[in-house]
Amino acid sequence: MDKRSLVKYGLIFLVLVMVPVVRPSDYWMNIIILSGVYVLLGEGLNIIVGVNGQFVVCHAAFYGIGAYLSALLTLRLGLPFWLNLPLAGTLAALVGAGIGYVCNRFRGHYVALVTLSFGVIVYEVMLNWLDLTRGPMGLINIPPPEPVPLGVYTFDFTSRIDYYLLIVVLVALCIASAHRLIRSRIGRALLAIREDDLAAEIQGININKYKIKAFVLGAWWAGIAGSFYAHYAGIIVPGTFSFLTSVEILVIVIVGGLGSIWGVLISAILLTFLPEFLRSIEFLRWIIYGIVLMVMIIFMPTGIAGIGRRIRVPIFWRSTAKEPAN
Amino acid sequence: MTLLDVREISKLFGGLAAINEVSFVLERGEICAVIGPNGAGKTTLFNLITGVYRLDGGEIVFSGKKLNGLKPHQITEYGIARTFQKIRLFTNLTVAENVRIGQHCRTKAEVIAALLRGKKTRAEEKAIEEKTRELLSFVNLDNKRNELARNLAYGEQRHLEIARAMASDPALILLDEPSSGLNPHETDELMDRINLIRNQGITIILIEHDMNLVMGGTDHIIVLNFGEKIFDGPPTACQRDTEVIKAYLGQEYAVCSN
Repeated sequence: MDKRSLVKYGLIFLVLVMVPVVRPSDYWMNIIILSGVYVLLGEGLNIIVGVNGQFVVCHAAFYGIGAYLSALLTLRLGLPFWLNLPLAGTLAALVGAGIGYVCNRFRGHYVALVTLSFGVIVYEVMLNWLDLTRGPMGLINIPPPEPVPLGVYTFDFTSRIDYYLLIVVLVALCIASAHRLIRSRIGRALLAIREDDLAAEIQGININKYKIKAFVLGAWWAGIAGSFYAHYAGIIVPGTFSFLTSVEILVIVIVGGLGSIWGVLISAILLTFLPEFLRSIEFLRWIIYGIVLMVMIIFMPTGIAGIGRRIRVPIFWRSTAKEPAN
Repeated sequence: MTLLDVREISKLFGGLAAINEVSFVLERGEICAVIGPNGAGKTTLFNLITGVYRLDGGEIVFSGKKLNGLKPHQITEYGIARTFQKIRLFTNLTVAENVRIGQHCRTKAEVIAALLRGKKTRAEEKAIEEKTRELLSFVNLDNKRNELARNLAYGEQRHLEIARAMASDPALILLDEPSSGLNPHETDELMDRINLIRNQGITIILIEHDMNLVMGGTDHIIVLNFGEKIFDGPPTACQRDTEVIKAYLGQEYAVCSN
């Protein structure tokens, strides 16, 4: 590891340990943990939309599938969280593969429409399959993850600190894997398809296969996020996984900069905190949120990554973010 | 030795035959030019060979294997690479990244291997890096490797596209108007480079309008007109062929004298 990345990761580590040291109130701890969930969702969708260039509007569906599967496996079959977590990721990934397969028959805006309808279908199923999901009443009493004894400290998930540490680990894994992916043969193929699908195919890339791979990878992290969220919140309702959530995640990716891992990380945290800061002016809250988003998209079309590259922030130097056409 | 055998291929757009029962044979190691007036079907021919369009008739045999019905990415794997008339680089990616992507079908790392980045994957990445450096120095772009492709000058973009095409280890390269938009100096450089590529044993077929390049730098000329082949032979014979002069060379002359 060179000096620069040592400084980079040192700083990140410092910020991460500061959180439990400072001991924020439960309210802020909750926001911090939720921003971690949104990082997972944003990074996942970033692989599909940002890196691979498929305009997908159903990420909340993958999120919801992960959450409901994980909750149901625990409530109905008594399976432990630690088994449900990868299972939720796997089911979401499988569903993602299916949607990716269907989307291969469409291009551009039609992909957005197909995925939009899929998201609505999943939402309606959650709302109306009363026997399974209890509909709008949601699933309640989802138990926390089973305790994990680790030397002197036992992670028993009675305090938010334990959830915080778990989400930090998940986010770290997610970022690291996204980072490796982008700088690998697979990531390069996904980027090539975003840039020019015909040229990509002429370079020997099986574009249909790789588009499905993007779905699998993106949906996997959404499923993981869903499973974590279900056991963290203890209660899930269909509304959490509606079309609006899909749009929220899409906004995170666009504001962060399509294809930029660090940009999406920052934007996920920023956009989770922003509405909370605006709570004091309740009636104007979402109006200001909307205005801030519009200003960001107008004045920084390349997102946080584009700005970062322009003012030469080191982590954005090698950014693979998309620039707007001249 | 025959590398590419095109047998009576046709392509219809609606009722119009863009390519009408065209046949020709490419020998290994030759530089062949496809010329003809606009709309003669030159690019369509390239799109048929690379699988971008489906054949409506005939067959294409490449080093003994039939290409009919194969997808473009499979044809690239067989060893045919191409560039485009209108440059199609991956513009938001760096110069080096473009060439790395070109090596896709000659490398293996799958998702899990890419995420774990074990010994084998690292060795493969190292080989990719080496080849990228080699190809970039071949087209004199090694000092711009971290530049975004979109920021290159036009001529450099043409050369980068050639480097990217060569990255897939092709036996045959199709160059679609490689000299368009280049100044005379750059065109000379291009000719030298094309010869160097041939010296590596790669067969080249190019669409070209620059008659100096065509007559001076190729071994074999195919002339298309309205989707039909009207000439197939060496450059010297081409310049004397009355039908070619009427359809293409002379027509240009007529435009000049007006």
